[in-house]
Amino acid sequence: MQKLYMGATAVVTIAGSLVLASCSNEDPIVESDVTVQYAAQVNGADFTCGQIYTGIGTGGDDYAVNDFRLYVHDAYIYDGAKNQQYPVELNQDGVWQYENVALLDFEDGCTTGTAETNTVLAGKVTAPASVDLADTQVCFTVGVPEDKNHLNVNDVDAVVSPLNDSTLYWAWKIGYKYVRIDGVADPSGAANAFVLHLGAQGCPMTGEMTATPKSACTVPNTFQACIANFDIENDVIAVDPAFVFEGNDVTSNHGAKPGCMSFIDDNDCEEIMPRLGLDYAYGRVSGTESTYTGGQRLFSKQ
Amino acid sequence: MSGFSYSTRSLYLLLSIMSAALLSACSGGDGTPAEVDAAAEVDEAAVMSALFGECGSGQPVELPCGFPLPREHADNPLSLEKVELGRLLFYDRNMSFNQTQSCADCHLQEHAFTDALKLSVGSQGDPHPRNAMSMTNVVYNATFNWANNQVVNLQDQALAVVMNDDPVELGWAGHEEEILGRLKAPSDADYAGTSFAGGAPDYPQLFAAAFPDEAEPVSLATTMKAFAAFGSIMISGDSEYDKANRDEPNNMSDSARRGQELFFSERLECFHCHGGFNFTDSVDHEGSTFTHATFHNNALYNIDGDGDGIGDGLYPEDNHGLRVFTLDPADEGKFRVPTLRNIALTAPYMHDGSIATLDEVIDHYSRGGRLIEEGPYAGDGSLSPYNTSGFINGFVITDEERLDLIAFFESLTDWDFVCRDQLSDPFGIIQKHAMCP
Repeated sequence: MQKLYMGATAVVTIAGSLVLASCSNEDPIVESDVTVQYAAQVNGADFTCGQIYTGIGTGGDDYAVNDFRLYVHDAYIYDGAKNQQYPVELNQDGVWQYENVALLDFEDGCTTGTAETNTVLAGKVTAPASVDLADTQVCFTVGVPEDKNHLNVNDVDAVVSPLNDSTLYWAWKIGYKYVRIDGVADPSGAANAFVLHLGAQGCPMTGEMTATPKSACTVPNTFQACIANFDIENDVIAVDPAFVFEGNDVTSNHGAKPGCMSFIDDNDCEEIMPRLGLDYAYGRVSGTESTYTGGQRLFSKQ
Repeated sequence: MSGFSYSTRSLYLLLSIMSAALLSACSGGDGTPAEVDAAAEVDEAAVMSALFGECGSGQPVELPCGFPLPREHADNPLSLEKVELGRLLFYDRNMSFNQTQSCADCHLQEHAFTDALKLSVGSQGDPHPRNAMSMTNVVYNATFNWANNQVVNLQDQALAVVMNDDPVELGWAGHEEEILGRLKAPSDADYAGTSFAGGAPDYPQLFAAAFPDEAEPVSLATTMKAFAAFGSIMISGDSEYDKANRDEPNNMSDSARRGQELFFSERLECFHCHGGFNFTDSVDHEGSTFTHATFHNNALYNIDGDGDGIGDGLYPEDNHGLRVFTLDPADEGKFRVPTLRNIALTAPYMHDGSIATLDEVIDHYSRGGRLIEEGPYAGDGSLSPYNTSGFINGFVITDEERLDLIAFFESLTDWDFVCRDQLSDPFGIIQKHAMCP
């Protein structure tokens, strides 16, 4: 490796990494292009629009998925040895990624979505060279951050892709659907619509519906997922709702909404929320709290 | 002098002299000291409204005498062009994705802009969990919908309705480009069978005239603003009660006058929630200094949630009211107080249409809360832990007094509003009330 001096402006690019000047060349800061790959699955099988999957929920029922999209933000690499976080700075591509928010879109049309898909987070990590991107922990937060969750979707100049999709916005209630997984359970029989729409609750009254509330929503309903021992280049993060629905009878609905849409008094949310690492205490009216304590189940290393 | 002097015949003339009209409305008219004041008042008057004025002012839209000036949205100063465009859009069934339903189909003029259904139905057949609200005086609403503390202006309300996908109402979510495309390039075929069969409305020109400062006049934002503009002129304040109240010639019966006394009595207490110029405490106007975004629990349900045989004040699962937004159990069953204007035309009643007639509404309040004896919604509303306002305690009322009270409610019908041409269907499809001339 070429020896670098303090203040040097010349840099050398090695294998896609940018080696920056540092006080010492023992552990130089390196900027690396990273692509975090996701793969949508349903009960372990690759996801395809309309395909019927088996073994879903407490009844082991058939389930066809018609929409499968979610927002993530503030992804980072965590190095345990250094106890340091290194953000993944997303490439601003004008389509899927905007500032620190990205839309993962696993469906290629289905019923409500678009033909285009996006299964990666693409960006840059700036970290010491000793941080091993082949064996690290990747973390990200599911949802839209508060400062972007209440945009004026009427204003096309204020709302940029991927935050301009009206099928992912709760127009009558502030905020975005962070996760939209739509499906039909037992399609040839009960044909029960069973969906997961995750979003913020308890958002305070503003002077305007499409304005940032004066105080944060009391139930942001964002959740973090971390994947340990992850090889950024070669590993893939599986996204699978089957594990989130494992405590539910998906062939029937136990609340005013089909499946769980995050609102109060929806007993279908009792088993789903804890499996996203969330607490449904805010919404409990006459349901029973789940005994599940295993943390989020939507993401795992494939 | 009552009501409106809004004339489409003079629409363009009024527009061209609008700024002059504002000046003359403020000045003394004889060019002396008042004129000096008028100059200072011009800026203030100019930002008040280009559309509304008090009765006798000569403004394009004269308010009923005694009504306050509505609050206009800073982003959507109203104009006659926006209003006329909004009227077309409101009645245009191409404003639903599947081209079967318009705003008007749930907000029919003959029912004071509701639909006479217990629960409304969307363009794709989805049932709505709630009863359509009358659009009488919506421009004065502090909040919109039955129990939503987050929608506070008409253009946001329009957006919420068109984009709603649970249930699907007009079905815009995911389809707004296609629907706006119908406005950017209207197709004559889409207007077959209407009074525009000879040629679709010239929406590009209408939008350009209504939104002259927009580089792209046809957009999601401008369409919502046009809807809001039309909604803003649905103002009703010339019922027989109003005329009597202003000492004008009227047909308010003695029975209705006795009913009025009952309504405003401390025995019945109706006016505590249904008071003020719009017969609701949830109002906002240009002169409002405090926010009156109020919601009340009127003791319709008291469901036992934990099975101990004692009502917990719960409402059915799809209609918890304001609690859905605030998450506060104390907001269980709280709903916005609707106006009682034109109430005789807007049955069935309550947020879920669960009370069919005015007589049954009186039963409800005279009892002090509804008793549902059996079924999943069983409970006694009069014993609800959330019935704490102190104003729903029940009252004694004789049969004759009931008739008087109902006569009073009927005296709140404003036939000028219900039959007003400027609020009717420009496409000639939806008919006015049979009683209209």
